[in-house]
Amino acid sequence: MANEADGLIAIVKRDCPTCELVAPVLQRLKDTGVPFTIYTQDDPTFPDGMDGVVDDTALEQSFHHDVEFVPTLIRREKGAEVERAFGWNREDWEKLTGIQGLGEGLPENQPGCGSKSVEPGVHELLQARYGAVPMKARKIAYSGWDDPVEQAFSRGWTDGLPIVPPTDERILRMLQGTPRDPAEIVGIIPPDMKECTVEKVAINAVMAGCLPEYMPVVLAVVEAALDPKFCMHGLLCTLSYSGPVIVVNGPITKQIGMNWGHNCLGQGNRANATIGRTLQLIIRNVGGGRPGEIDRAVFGNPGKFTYCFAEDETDATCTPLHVARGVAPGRNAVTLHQGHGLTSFSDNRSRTGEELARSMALQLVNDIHPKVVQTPNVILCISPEHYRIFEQDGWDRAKIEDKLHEYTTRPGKDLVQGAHGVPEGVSPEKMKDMMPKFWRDHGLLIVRCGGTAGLLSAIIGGWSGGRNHDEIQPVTKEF
Amino acid sequence: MAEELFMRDPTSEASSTLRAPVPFPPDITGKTIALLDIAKERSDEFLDTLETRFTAGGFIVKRYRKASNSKNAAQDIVQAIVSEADIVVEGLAD
Repeated sequence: MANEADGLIAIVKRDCPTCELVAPVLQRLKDTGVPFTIYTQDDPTFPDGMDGVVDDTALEQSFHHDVEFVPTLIRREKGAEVERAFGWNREDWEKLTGIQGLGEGLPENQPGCGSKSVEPGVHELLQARYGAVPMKARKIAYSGWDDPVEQAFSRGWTDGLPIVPPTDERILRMLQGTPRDPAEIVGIIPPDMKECTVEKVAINAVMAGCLPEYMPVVLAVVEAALDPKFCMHGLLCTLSYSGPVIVVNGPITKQIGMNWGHNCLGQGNRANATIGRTLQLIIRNVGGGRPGEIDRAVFGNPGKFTYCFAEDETDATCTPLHVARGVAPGRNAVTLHQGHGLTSFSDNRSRTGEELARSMALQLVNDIHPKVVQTPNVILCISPEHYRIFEQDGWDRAKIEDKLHEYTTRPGKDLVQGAHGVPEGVSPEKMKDMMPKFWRDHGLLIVRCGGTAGLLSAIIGGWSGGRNHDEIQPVTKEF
Repeated sequence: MAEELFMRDPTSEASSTLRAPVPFPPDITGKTIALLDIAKERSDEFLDTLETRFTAGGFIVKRYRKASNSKNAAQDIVQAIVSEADIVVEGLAD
């Protein structure tokens, strides 16, 4: 393009009625003898019968000329573009060419069509192929005979499931999901304590299968995980089962189609599945945290592939989790919990808030061990049908929490080491105390979610590291 | 088709772009050694010699043979070696 001659340039495609319309005009311009290059995007034989048409089915020239519509007519002088016209407009074309009487018999004006070079996903492909890219990550070459998915496996980049190969066009598309500079450092990733840029986040998001519009959530998740209070390093190293569990709140959950309803903790929703997976891939790839190495989990849990869901905020009577934790209503936020697994809670007979809270408490006290207290923080996922029982009795989030804390507080004599013939338990000096199961300020996170039918709720257990009340807590990050 | 393509590195780039070979075991005492015959001429002679010397050295030796030297080892042979042996010697010939 740098050496392109002065004169006229037209970019056209056969699959455009306006390009078909102006074909006789193009022929007339050609016949004037002015230097005239015609690039055709979809059919090298179009316009029919015209000599010297340049095949641009690879769209390289269309990309370099930044063409958005066809036909586009450009005039160049002294090595630079001086004027361009889009679609067919007699006045514009006559002014640009300096030739009067163009397109006799044609309408005065007819809009053109979209250029093939700006069709969805195409521009980034062309940018990767012909343009400058902002990515700094080093290139890992592979032969056209190789399967890039298998290459990723063999390089240890995956969590055991196939990844989407992080090619430049995919990374460029992912970076469109955030206004942040690709070179910006998001944080230092444990355990290797390596810098993680927005670009590295995007690369791993591509691999996890994210869409670009998930990027604001993904970036907030990474930043929340790096909050010292979340203790990502310790959570990775632990013998315990736990990993990051992500709850997303705010308008963005609806905008990107997250699942807070039926099967919200299960498979099948792209945003839920890939946002959680991206964090795990970043820990693995950028941070170097791999199972059997620094990750010393005895069992782990299936949620270490991904564990991410949204809260159902459709019931105005229920204060959302992020608002309860200090974020303004209508704002977006992620809350990260150090958690694992799922404990079922099915109660079909409670009909009052009082009955249901007492019933839930029986199950809540069992996390980690029935006689261990003030150690795990848990998420209690309350289904809409269970929530309705509280709501009918006029209980709001604060009252539900109060009652659950009250009913999960038990006499020390039942919990001390040796009580009921079980050595595990709290210190003998707590014999006469009343012992709360959970820390009052952050030990019990309630999330309203799940399918609309079923008197079921669910408990997402917590990491034993939660016993360090001041150092290790769930983290909420607004974005 | 065989053009060179590339992906971007998702890691912290603290290691080489080349994949590192599996490190050699620091101590091979008592290990089980698989001898893989690639089915090329006189491959077995070479491996017979190795088997004699390894056995004399106190190692357990297991023998495997590819169907053809021109193709990769069949999956069942690879899996048998992975599950039954600690070290593999792939024998050449000619």
